[in-house]
Amino acid sequence: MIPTLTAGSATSEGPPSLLGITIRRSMVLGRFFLVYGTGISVLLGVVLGLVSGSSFAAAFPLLLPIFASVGSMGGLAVFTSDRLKGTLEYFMAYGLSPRRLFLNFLTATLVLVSIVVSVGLGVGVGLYLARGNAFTPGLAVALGLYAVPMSFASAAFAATMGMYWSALSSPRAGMNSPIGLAPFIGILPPVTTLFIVVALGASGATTSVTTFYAIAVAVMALVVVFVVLLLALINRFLRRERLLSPA
Amino acid sequence: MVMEGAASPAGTPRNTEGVGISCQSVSAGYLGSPVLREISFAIDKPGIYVVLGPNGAGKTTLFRTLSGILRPYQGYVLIDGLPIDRQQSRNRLHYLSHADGLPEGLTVREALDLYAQLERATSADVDRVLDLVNVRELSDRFLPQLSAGQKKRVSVARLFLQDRAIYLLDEPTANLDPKMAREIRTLILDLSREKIVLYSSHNLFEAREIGRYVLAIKNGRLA
Repeated sequence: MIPTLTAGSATSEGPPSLLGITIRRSMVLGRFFLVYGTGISVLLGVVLGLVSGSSFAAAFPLLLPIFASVGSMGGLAVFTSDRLKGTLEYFMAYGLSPRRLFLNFLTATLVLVSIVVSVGLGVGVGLYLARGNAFTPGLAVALGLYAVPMSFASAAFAATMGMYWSALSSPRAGMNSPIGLAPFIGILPPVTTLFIVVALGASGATTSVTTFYAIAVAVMALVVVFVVLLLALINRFLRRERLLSPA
Repeated sequence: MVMEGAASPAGTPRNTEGVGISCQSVSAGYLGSPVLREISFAIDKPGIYVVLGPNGAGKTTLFRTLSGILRPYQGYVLIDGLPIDRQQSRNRLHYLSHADGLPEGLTVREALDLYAQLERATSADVDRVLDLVNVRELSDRFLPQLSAGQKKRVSVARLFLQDRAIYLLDEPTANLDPKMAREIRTLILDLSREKIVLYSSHNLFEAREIGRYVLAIKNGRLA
């Protein structure tokens, strides 16, 4: 029996935000990455904190962005799944533009990063302080100027590159896919920073903490500009048909 | 250009809402390669209009263009006199793709809740459609746990969440067993008494069974 239908809608109201549900789906589909990234960050903080306060202060800020990036792959996982299954096609039919869809998945990624970073920092720094270590200005700068912003920049870089790659390539599964390889893309910014610092040291140039932060800020700025540029150029590089189901 | 088919004469009631879909010299395709060429037609009366053509003829491309997913290279699509890229026009349409389009990571109920949110429908509407297409018993299952036919039923359920003037249904009975396909066709036939339904199929027998009007498409052109 056909139901009693309500009056036809002719409103000009746009589609509502999908951010909340996208975040939830990112946590479900990317649960392996989220648990892995968060777990390793916590483990790292605990182990380094138990070894010594100086070990924690020296190594934890450098390593956190790597695991934060890995832990945030859920946003990309949802994007790839939605493209393959034709869900993006439906969203576009409802009036959601490719740019709005990209921003939606990118924001979900950043929320996942904030979970990994919050839990990792909370446990790591909590243990560090509980063991009687002082929260030095050096540690504050390392966390505030490098670990936290680099975590967000790396994850945004991995998610944006992964979404472009997923949309521009033929779908495939497994490690040889955007999802399989995006974690390696995500670690590029922090690894590049460390590589430049080490290369400068090896070449005989004087490197200091200030040099390290200058290089880190430059790398992060480049990453942010690159991500913003890719988002701005979505309409040029990613035509709507790139987001359609290949079936 | 709408041709009358040989199917059951269901009458041609007047469209009381005065809405219609019109396609003027539309060429569209993928990445610059046209699939549809100079397609023109106008429909302003309720009923089922079967878009019939072999695989690769351009049926899915036509539906994607009519729903505003693909932008025409030339020509335009009007819904109730307004361009399809206006939100008001999109809100007059229901689109069912040949892909199930169900968002992974959710149960059936949650997936329908998500579409209800997009449709601005209510939780009561979700309950109604769960019963309508007989998927109530699947409501707590996650989507990967469903068969292709069950996914199709859930996908079809979306169509009944909210009332629309025009329904674009791309092979709505694909993957369904004959009994369920018949039930879905009955629902769509009921719907077509007051609504414009474009229904794609490559099956001539299905077209004859369901449609009074036929748009035959071949090599991207209306035949």
